[in-house]
Amino acid sequence: MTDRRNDLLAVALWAATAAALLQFDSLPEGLRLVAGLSLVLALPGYALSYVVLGTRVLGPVERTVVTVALALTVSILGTLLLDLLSLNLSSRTWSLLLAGTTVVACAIARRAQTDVPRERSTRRAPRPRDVAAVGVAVAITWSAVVLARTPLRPPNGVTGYTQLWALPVAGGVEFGVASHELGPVRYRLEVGADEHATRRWVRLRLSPREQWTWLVPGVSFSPSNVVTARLYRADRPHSPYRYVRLRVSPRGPASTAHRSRRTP
Amino acid sequence: VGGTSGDGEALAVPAAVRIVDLDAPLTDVGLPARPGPPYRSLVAVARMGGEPLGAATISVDALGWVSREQLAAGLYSELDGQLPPHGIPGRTHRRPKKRSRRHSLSVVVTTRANPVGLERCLRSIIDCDDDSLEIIVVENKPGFAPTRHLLVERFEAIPGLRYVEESRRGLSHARNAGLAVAEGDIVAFTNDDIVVDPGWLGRSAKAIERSDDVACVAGLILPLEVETDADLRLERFAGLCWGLRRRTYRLEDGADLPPSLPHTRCAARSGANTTVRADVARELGWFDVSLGAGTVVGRGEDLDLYIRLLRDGHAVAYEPSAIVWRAQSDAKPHVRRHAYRCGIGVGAVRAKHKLASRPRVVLPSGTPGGVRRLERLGTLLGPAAYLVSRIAARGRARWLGRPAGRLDARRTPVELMLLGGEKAIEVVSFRDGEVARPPRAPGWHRREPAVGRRAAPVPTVAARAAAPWGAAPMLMLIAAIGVALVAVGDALARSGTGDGRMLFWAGVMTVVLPIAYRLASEDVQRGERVVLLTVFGLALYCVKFLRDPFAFTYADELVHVANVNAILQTGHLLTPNSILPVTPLYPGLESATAALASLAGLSPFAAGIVIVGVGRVLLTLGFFLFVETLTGSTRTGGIAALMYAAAPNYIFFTGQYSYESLALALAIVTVFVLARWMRASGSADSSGWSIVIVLVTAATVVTHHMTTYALVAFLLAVSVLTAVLPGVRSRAAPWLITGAAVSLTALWLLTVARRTDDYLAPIIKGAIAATSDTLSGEAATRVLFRPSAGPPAPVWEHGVAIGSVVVLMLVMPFGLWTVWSRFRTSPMVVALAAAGVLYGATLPLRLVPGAWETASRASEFLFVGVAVVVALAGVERLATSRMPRLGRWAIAGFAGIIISGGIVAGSPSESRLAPTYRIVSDDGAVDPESVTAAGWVGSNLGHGNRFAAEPSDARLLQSYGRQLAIAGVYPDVQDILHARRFEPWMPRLLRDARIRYVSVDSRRISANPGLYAFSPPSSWTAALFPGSVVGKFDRDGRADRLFDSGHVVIYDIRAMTHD
Repeated sequence: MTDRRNDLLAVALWAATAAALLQFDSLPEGLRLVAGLSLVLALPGYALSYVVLGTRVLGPVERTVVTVALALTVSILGTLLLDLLSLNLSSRTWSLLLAGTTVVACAIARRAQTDVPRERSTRRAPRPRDVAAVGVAVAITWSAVVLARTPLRPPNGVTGYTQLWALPVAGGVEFGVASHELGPVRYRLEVGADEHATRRWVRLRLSPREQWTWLVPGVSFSPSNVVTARLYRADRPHSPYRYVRLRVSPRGPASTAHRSRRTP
Repeated sequence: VGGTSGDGEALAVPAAVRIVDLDAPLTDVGLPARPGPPYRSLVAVARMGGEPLGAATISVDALGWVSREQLAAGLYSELDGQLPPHGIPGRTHRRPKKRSRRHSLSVVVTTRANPVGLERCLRSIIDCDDDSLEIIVVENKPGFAPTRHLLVERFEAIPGLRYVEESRRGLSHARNAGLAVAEGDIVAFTNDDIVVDPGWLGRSAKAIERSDDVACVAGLILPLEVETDADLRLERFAGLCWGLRRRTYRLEDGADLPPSLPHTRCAARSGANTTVRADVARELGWFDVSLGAGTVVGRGEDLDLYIRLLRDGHAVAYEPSAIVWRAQSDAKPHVRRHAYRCGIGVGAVRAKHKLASRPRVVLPSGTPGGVRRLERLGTLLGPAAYLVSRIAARGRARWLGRPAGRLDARRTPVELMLLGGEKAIEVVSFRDGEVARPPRAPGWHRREPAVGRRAAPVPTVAARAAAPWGAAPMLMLIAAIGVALVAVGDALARSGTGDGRMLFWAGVMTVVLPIAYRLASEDVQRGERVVLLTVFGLALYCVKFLRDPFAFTYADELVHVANVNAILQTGHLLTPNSILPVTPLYPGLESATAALASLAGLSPFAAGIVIVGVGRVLLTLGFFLFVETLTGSTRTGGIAALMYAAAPNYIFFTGQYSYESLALALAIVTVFVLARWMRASGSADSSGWSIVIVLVTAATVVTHHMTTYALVAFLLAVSVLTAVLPGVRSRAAPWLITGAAVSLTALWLLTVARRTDDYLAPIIKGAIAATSDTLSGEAATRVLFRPSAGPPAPVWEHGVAIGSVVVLMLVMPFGLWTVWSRFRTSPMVVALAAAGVLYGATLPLRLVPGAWETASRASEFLFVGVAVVVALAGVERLATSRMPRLGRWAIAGFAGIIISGGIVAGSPSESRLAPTYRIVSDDGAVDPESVTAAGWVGSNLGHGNRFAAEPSDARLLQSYGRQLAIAGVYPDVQDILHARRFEPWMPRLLRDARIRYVSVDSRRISANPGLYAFSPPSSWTAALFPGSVVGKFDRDGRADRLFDSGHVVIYDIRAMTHD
């Protein structure tokens, strides 16, 4: 026989520890995951279930369902309460709320209970073949998920695409090209004024998911202050592939200095 | 009351009856609140040293309070002569003496399908604090599972508790069965509508041991309360006590009866407080099965026993200190009927014993003449009734070749029945007068072989030793294979290398059929059912997850994930959502998701997957527990939870990341807890359950509007049905809980979610108007199986969908019949049956273009009733099936058909398998164009800008780009985006709407074009907008074309709207 009050003490300690650990930004991902899952989905509900239902006859399934439902309820209503109190919703406030609820509920439940024994478990060890079956089932399911999350070759007709942008930045214009094509592509980018005049151009070769930016400071190409950029694919050199157009404020003499950056 | 309080003229009803122990100082008495009018008076039965002295009637104030002074004054005025000279209180409290151990004691509690009353009765018997007590519960309705469930779940730890089933109907048969099994020297009989006083057993036994010739003791029976004038009249007529003076009756030579024996009251169920010497009762010939409740006579078995004992030379004692309390039955008391039945009982006993003298009938003064005449009529008819009853009993005994009512099962074997493999009960079953194998109630199975009585105190370990997990591991493996088949189907669909649809169906059926077959089996432990249902729920959730394993793609999902992002970004709730403004007003799902994402370090997508997955498990297990609680059958619970998967929206719509997915799970848990509350109503457990209900209901209220309304409607229906259904304890009506739910809903609507009506009202009005138009012929009916986008469903799917509805409608009447025959006194089951019928009524709405979606959404709630009804039908048919294996396959096949039909009806053929969301490239993977465009916006333009966009792009801009995107016609950005040229009103509208950016998408596809790699199918025409539409911002010249990714172009229109 074990005292169920010890369980409540352990739950309270677990909640407090989890909340304390979650205050560290450098907490390892695995620990953070366990602490977060237990605080949101289990611990407050477990403690509350003993506060409101005591140690009455409640099977493990019923206890589990009530625990999870109450834990979600605490998360939902607790978040609402924090918002009503104009507290910022963050990992700090959430962890304090959930751990605090758990600890207080455990304290109340422990006070309300005396000498409540826990039934000795009569569960027997599973057969090896049962364990093996479960293990294979988990492996197959995991494989199914991996297969589903593995990008596959697209159906016929699906092509990639390329992004071209122009953004006004302090004292200049940033041009950017990002490739989401299905293979490496060669480009030629022409930057000019108004609709026709080409002042500068550059050749590029980008792999899929590769991005290239070009910061041109102090640009002033034309009296109308309109900057245009046309992107050509090397395999279709006469047909603009992408096109952007931007009006900029005059910034004095144009500078010839420029800077480009390539990111994967 | 009865013979104790004199004429009772001062008694104002409702009145509570309480014992006042004068051994302890008097205290104030606070009466609990009661449904209906409050108590107006208190009948205080004074007791000293365990002996009742008398009763006083005392007025109760409006708060149900009687002060100590009032109590003392009332007792003085009524009992002055009997009180001790030193007043009240004057004696030190004495602990009751422990009963001497001269004889072993058994208590036989007879019951017939009344677990609530039985639990109350058993708890009071346990409070008698007799360690060596043997308690025998005799169920006179074999196979009534709730009684077994009650015993194993609430009283498993009580030593000496035994369970007997007697198939022959009748109180005498039931008592004889208990007497046959009892091992005690002294056997006390009582009924399930009785609550015993803690000193009852001790004082009964003491009375029987007082003299060797006393073979039987009858005790005092008091009502727990006198609710109405009819109760009062009944108590006056048939008060079940014989006064407060201890008496011993013996038969004088030559006399028919002891002169003072009050016969009428003997014939009024005083057997509920009768204790006998077991050997004498057996030798004397048991209770007469021609008499008593359940026979034509209906009364008199106790009076008959007393007379036989007296004639055999024994004494019958009346012990007023052996007190039991009779709870009021739900049926309204009918004095006239009672008088008539008593008359029949007395007349039958008189005829049987050929009594020379007419039994003395005690009728109080003021008894109406009509009642007297009925009693006399009954006395006249009694002999005929006895004759008929005796012929019937003898005929049956002759048919069976056994004497009626005589058996001795003390050495007969028993069976150990297991409930879900975790809890067991020892069952002795009498069928047609001999010990038989007990019938297996749904969800139970026997342990083989049952050797000897009390064979194994802990049978569960051995029973589960062979396969502690049952077939769960193997079925888990099969389900995993099914999931893998679906994954392969999805992969084929995404890559376009094959038709994955057959694999999809094969996978789903691989999950459904084996688990359905197993759940339909009787010999499955409860734990295994739970595991199977968990696997089932998660496997079908995987079908949705495998379709969208990278990100949320459904329209509603994108809206909700945008809300999560807003919470994480702003640190506050209720941030407006321009696409679906009502969603931030119900932040339950997003709150839990944001908390999990923030604490566990997960992305909103991963956190949402976890939350909805947990919700799916809660939904499945909550459903199982709910139905199990209602029906007392784990098998019915399992099948019902499985059948719910046939709801058209189950796999995809309620598996998506949306507020109803979580709210539905919370609502199901709420009704499960409500069922537990109703079962525990009146006990100490109920307050805890009610707190859980209110808390989870509050969470539901802030999570989803329609689920809340459905939940409140269900609570209201249950409350009303509890009040109006005959045979239901009105005290169990959840009015307070319903009131709390209504209040919470109203509070939320009035304070936070006032705009809910703006969202729902047009939908409902539109559905009504569309129905009206269709009915009047002004609008055409909807063409089934033709989705708004994509190709129509294959023909065979039409057959499956229609076939599923047909078989569903064919099975429903059987389930409804089961509800009527077995559960018509269960308000929750009746309410669920009504929901099931309502579901059938909504099916024609699927032919109405403007109403089919409303009907589809309603099915999430109404199908709960359908699942319960068809599960009841299936289990009932299985229980009587001569070919159970075939029956199980039939249930599995039925589940397969209706789940397939639900999938066809709930999701278009093309949308069940994975679209081309993320595709492989030479050096990584490529996401859809609109998704990366939205990501670019979020990274480069800052958050919270106001965008005009197509609906699907707007959702992506909200969720991935964290922008405030506007789509549709309020304001009318849709017309601006689709126009071929600029009109003068357009810049004004854009300025008024404070639009800063416009996202132009050249793809003209209604369903989430931006989410997938674009490949216009050849069968689709006009997949792209004309150049004049998408190029009008370029032609205007005032807009800055910031971004171009081919199909998506983003403009900054500040200059345009400010010129």
